[in-house]
Amino acid sequence: MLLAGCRDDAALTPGTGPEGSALDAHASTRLRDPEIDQGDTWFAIDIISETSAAIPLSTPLPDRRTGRSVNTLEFRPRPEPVHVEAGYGADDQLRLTIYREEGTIRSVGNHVVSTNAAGEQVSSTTPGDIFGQMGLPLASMENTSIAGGLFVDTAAFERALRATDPGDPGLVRGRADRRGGRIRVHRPDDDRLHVTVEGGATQANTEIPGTMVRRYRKHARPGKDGKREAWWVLEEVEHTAEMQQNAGTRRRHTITRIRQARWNQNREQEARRFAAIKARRRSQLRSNAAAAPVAAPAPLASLAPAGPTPSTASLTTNESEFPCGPGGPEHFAATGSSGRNVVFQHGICSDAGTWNGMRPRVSDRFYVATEQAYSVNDAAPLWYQALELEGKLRASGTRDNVVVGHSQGGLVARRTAQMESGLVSGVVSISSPHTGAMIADFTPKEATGALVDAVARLGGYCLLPGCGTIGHVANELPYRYFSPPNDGDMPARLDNQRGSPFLDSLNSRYEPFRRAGIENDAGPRFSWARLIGDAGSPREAFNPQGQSTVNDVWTGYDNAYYVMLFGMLLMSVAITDDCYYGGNYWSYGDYWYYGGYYGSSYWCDPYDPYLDNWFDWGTYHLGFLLYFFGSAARGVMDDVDWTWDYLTTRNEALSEPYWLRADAIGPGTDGFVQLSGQRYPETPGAFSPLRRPIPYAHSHTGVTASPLVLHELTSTLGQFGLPQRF
Amino acid sequence: MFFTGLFRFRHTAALASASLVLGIAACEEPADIPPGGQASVGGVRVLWRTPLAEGAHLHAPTTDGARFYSEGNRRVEAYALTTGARTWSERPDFRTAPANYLVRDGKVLGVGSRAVALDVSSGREVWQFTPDTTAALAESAADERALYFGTMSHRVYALNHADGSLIWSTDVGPEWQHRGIIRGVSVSGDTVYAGVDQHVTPNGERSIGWIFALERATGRVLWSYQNGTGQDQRYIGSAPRVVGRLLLAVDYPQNTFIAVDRFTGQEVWRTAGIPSYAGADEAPVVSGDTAYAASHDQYVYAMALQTGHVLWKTRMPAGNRALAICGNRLLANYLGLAVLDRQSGQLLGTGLNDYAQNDFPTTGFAVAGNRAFVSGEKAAYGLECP
Repeated sequence: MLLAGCRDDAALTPGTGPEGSALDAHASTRLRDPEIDQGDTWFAIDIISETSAAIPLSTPLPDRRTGRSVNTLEFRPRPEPVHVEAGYGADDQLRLTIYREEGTIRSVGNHVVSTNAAGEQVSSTTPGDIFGQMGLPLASMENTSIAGGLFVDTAAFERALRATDPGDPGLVRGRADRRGGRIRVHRPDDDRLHVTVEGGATQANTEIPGTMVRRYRKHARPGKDGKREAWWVLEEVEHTAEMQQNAGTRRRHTITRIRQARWNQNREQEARRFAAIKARRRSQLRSNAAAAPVAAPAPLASLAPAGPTPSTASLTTNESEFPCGPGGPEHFAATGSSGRNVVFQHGICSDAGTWNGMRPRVSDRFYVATEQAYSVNDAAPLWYQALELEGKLRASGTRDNVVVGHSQGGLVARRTAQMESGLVSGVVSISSPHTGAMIADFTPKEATGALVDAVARLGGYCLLPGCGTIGHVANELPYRYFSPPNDGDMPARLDNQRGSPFLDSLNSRYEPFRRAGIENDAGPRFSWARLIGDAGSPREAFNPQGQSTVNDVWTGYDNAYYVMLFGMLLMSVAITDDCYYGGNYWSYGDYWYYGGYYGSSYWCDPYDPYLDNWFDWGTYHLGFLLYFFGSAARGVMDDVDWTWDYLTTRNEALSEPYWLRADAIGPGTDGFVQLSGQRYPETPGAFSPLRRPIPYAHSHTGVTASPLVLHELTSTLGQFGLPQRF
Repeated sequence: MFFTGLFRFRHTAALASASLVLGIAACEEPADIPPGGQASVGGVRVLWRTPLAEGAHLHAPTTDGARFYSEGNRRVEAYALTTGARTWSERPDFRTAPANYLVRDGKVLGVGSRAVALDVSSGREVWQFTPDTTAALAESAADERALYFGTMSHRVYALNHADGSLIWSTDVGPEWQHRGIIRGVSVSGDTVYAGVDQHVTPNGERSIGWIFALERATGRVLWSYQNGTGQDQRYIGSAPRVVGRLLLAVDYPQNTFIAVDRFTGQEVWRTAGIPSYAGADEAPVVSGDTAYAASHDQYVYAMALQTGHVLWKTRMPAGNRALAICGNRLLANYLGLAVLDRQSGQLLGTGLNDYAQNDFPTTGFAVAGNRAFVSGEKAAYGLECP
């Protein structure tokens, strides 16, 4: 099993290296996993297995569709993420929650696996045992351990490497495991490690011949003493096997990709951090009387026991600042009829406040029965969130609802509707990244770093009115839109990536419901400034300047232009003085020559020495300075703009690094999701997804408060045949 | 603020330097019509702009040549055509706001979850009628005798618009298993036509479009035209428009325009817009031998009336919601006003699109002669076309 790297030192003597134990299904491995702090660390792991297999048949079978004989049964890859959460509770119990789906049959449960705990040493069980105990027929999981998806004890791992072949970073050496198989450890570079086991794997006491390759990557993270620590992470398992079956030799090839993320590594620490941020922003809001508070939603009468319903105060502006990630009050309430209602689903790092502008006007015309205020965890994998929404809809007792999803919420809505549970009859997405968001290609660190670099370049020139707003926005953006609850990453980001298994799966499914996608374009410039403070947006409260943010940025940009022009004017005056116009002589100098162009009402002295006195000199250089600062400020503001656009809308026809080229930017963005990503794909189905583009208007964050979108939405809901409020 | 936004030049600093040489005037943005600002766009003059009393206006307004009637937040308002002065404002009990309004015999007629008639001069309620379920998704129609409308229960009603009494009602799909929604009703001669959306699956992802012809006097079904077989999503999204022998209709989910012979029920032509976009909200409008339509695929189309051949199409800034013929212009509402030349399709200008102030048109147009009227998020507008 894959806990080898976590074994104690005694197990890592030469001859009993890490992968030998990895294949032993019954090793009583004692684990001291420094990653798991009791009660406060939880892991999320997405495991995607693609298995293809071929079984030659001794007796051909007829193909029902074609009528032809089939000599080989072929199984094609069917990637379906399996989401696993793991962690240790206060009772030292390893808790595993596995969410899976097979067709329309779902199985969600909280499975507790007993472990042996002695002091800080925790013994675990084999992967086959774990999944076997759960009674989950995860056929593709037999070679993957839940512990294998966790971080491996690097110190032990490194010691094992040194023990096998000190000084050789490449091919370490092969040796036999206890079953006689060969193990080779190959290190292509410092950060990657491939462990190949020739001889196959063991599943439920049965040896499966073949070859298995485990691929690890080294990650760095802050250690408990503040130093950086390296950890090996299992990223992929490739297993090729041949098995003798009654029908013949079955050849199977399995690639299991493991995407793991940690969140809430220390809940207390994060809580303190969030509290500090909230306090600071509350102070900002109080100090700015112009920032209108977001109206709390009308009290909603719960139709179902759907968890704790907070007071309306919990949905005020301050609470809406709760960042993305787990926690936060859960609110799911219902008004209206028992069927055919409007349900709102917010996006990532958001909450019910995003619908404050739209909810009253939609509910004036339609039944707004339920709304997903806080997801339990809007950073969790999206199909996990879809299950969450589905569960709450089911609990509300409503059916045939139309889910209106903003951004990531549109993907969650689609996934929920695809379950064909009868709970959702239509989906309207607003600015949703149906084919992925470019920004999700970047880690929080990368995206924040790029923007901060650009802003830093701006800082030296930001002396003009309105320019300071840019710094304010830049200060907000990395936190609001990039910073996950800790230094780790969000599974939701991975699902929002273009070409992610989730999106591939989502867009390849038949969608048995009415659907429409509202697309939004915030315009070509300073879309990043629009993200905070769009007019009417609940997010406006985050920025005391409100809508004036965009105006201030434009003002700063314009002012830089005027300063530049004024500087050019001064330079022109300095070098063209001693001019005659309309019968009057004028000069900034002490003397002039009469050698100009006579016969005209305007002439300049061509013999005037350049900057022939201190006044001219001073004027010229003042003009130069103004021109320099003006043009530089504009250039750096362009730089900030294009940096953001590159992160969200880059033209991939161009190779990097053309960040500052205008043509590096693709067509259209709402400041966060490029237009091409917003397009509702032509997924399999019998009907059009009804794209509805709206004009240049609001940003990604302001779009849910946009009257433009409201009109598109109400019109669409009417086309869906949603009952009108009676 | 210092130098605040006199103009915005949105290019690089290098280009900005060049502009100093070429002249600052070159940097000005194309002119739009701010509220109360410029008086014309594309040759269409803004006669008046009146701020709304309550809420945004969403539904198709109407005019009787003396007043302009529009509704927002279920409040119906009447404006003088020439000045835009609000003459009355009432909130009748429609329950749900109607899809459109009509004026007949001194009454403003609207059908939401209730049919209500208002006196044109005062807004006072004259009568009301409650159908079996809401008709708010269907355009209604009227002639000299009756008001016709359809419901979400696939039933077409005819009411005497003098007193609101029921003349007849007909269920056009008594055998249907799932939802059937009347999307609009029109009337011409002795026939009433209804455009229908029949769901063949519970969620309606597969649906059939129908046009039913009903005898005006009795409601008896004369013939029906079927659009689709239920293998995909099709439906007639609005009231068919009667033009000579033709009925013009729109298949909303397929973004297709359809012409049907109104005496035989046979399809004459169909013309498709750009796939995957939502289609037009309204049936094409006609002038002479040309049909004009505006779709959510962002294009305004001109089609030969007899063949459906596309004569020209012009792209708008966004998906379109309504279209009207006004003088020698076409007016398109893309949540902004676009003015096109009727002959060439050339986009002559855009306006009424102050999104920073949320001031833009949202409804269909009501046309009287060379004047058009439209309501929006913040105001009602009177327009005069050349």
